[in-house]
Amino acid sequence: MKKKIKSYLAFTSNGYRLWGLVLIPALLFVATYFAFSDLAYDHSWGLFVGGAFILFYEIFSDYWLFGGICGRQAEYLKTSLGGLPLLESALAVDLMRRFLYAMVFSAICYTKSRKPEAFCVGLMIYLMAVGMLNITRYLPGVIQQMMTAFLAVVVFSLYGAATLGMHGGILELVILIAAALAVSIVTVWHVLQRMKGSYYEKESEKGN
Amino acid sequence: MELSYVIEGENLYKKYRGFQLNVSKLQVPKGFATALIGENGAGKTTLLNILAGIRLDYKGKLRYFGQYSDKDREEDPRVKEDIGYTGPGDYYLPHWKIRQVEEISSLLFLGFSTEKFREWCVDLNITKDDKDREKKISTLSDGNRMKLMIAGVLARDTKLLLMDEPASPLDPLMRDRLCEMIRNYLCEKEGQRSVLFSTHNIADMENVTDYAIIMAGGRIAEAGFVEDLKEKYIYVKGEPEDVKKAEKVLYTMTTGKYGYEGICLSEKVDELAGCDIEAQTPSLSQISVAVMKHFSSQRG
Amino acid sequence: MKILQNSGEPIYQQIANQFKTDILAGRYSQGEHLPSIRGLARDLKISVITTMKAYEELEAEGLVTAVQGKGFYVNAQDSEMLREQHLRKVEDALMEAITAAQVAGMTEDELVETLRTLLRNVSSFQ
Repeated sequence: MKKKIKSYLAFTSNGYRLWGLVLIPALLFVATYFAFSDLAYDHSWGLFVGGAFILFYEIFSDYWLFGGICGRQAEYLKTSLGGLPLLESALAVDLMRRFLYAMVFSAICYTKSRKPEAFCVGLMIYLMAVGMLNITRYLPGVIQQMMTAFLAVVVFSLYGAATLGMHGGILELVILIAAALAVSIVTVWHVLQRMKGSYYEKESEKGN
Repeated sequence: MELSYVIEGENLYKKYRGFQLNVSKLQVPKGFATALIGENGAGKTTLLNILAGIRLDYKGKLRYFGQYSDKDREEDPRVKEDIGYTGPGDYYLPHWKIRQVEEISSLLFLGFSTEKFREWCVDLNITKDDKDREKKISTLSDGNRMKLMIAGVLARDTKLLLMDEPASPLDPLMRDRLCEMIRNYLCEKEGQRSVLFSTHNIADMENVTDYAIIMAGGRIAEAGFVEDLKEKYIYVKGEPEDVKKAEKVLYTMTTGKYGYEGICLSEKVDELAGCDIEAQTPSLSQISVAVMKHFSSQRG
Repeated sequence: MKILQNSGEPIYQQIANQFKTDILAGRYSQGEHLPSIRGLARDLKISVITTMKAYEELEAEGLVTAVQGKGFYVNAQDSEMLREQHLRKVEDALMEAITAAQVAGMTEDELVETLRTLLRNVSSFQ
């Protein structure tokens, strides 16, 4: 595990470590505690409003970490047999970090509202954010990634508004956990598949 | 001279759209610097990618260091540990910082020395202080990116360097430095280390080229030690009245008011007996151009 | 060692000749090692194969011996061979003079006379 975390950290720049891992999430958590969790107490939509910020940040910040990796060759990683395992570790630890942060969000909301749906929304954020990575990791530019993240936020909010007060059942929690696990595995596998595929020529690439 | 090969290849084949790589026999001598020469699209990059194991869609047999197959290369970490590859395109991810290159390298390669890497970065003028190590790859110039790749492979303990066009993005001073680095690399482990690089700048690299592999149309058109090639081919100058006769013998020739000049096989020079000629040892670039032209004219 | 890139004389030949001169002049003692092939290439800023060819030429002339994995060392130079080497040099130089004389249209007598005059000027020659 120590080596896996090391691999993950190697993919993070100092700026990402400070802003991406600490300051921005801290700001979001503080805001959640003082504003959104109160809203969550009376009206469940506070969960979705707070969640929307976390979701946006989770999708968008991937640009600084993996920088549209599905559209890249990253030949350097292929010059060592350790390259793909290193990437796999980094991707997996990154997902664990995302899960942890989503759960912190849920826990903050839960301390005030005491509503189990806080955890359902946390899982939904994770599910949606990680699911979207399978698209955004193909996008090379900041703007495209930001637009996609924004789109995801809109969909998430609309879904939240439409299903207000309908979340929090045990069955839903179980289904969400299973789905989160599945989407995690698929997302890591997806990037590795892309990397393995780049060992073989594709029609869209230059051939000399 | 006892000669062994660091890479031996047989029937290497790869088809892609209109292009075909078809190398029936490849030999890269151990202990020397080998230049891979050819036009754009001759197959240099494809061949180097195959040798480095970053392309796997090929057929054929490969042997590394006299003992490992290409299957071993993909299974035994020691093989790639001993090979340093530098190439164009997406080598490092563009948003990585120099510091990340350092951290990732030390995780990828046992033989990577962070200390040596930093020394090279300073030595090659990529970074001046610790602050520069936070520079993003995408903000580096092509020349600096090339230098960073070179620093990355020289910071390791390798036995073979595979370099795709290392000289192209470098300025003349740095090209000279590159030649020096290659000589040093070969010298440090007398006879145990080898370098294979592709180049368009034959003249700049001639002083560090021991063995040349000249490619054309996806095949190897000529290969040999430079000193042998310089004996195999000869540069001839002659009088205007002999142009007709010379045309049949010379690989390439230019004609003018004062006569013709061009390159032919030394063994064929007898066919010009009776003509008034001056002969001269050709340079590697002259030989390369002649071989490439001859090859393309033969294939129509 | 001075190497001229554009002198017309192949670089390996220049290297071989300079070592030959040094060895025949006794500047290398018997059993002494020549610089390593790749070390010399590095120092002279030339390719490895060029220095290797120079050393092979020295080996072919019997001046040095290659030991696998250890490099080249200088052979004992027997005086008879030394003399022969020098004689060959004299012949080469005279041959060059003869060619030049032909171009200049000198007669045989004129050439011989020139040599005699030159010999008289070099007082040390006895």
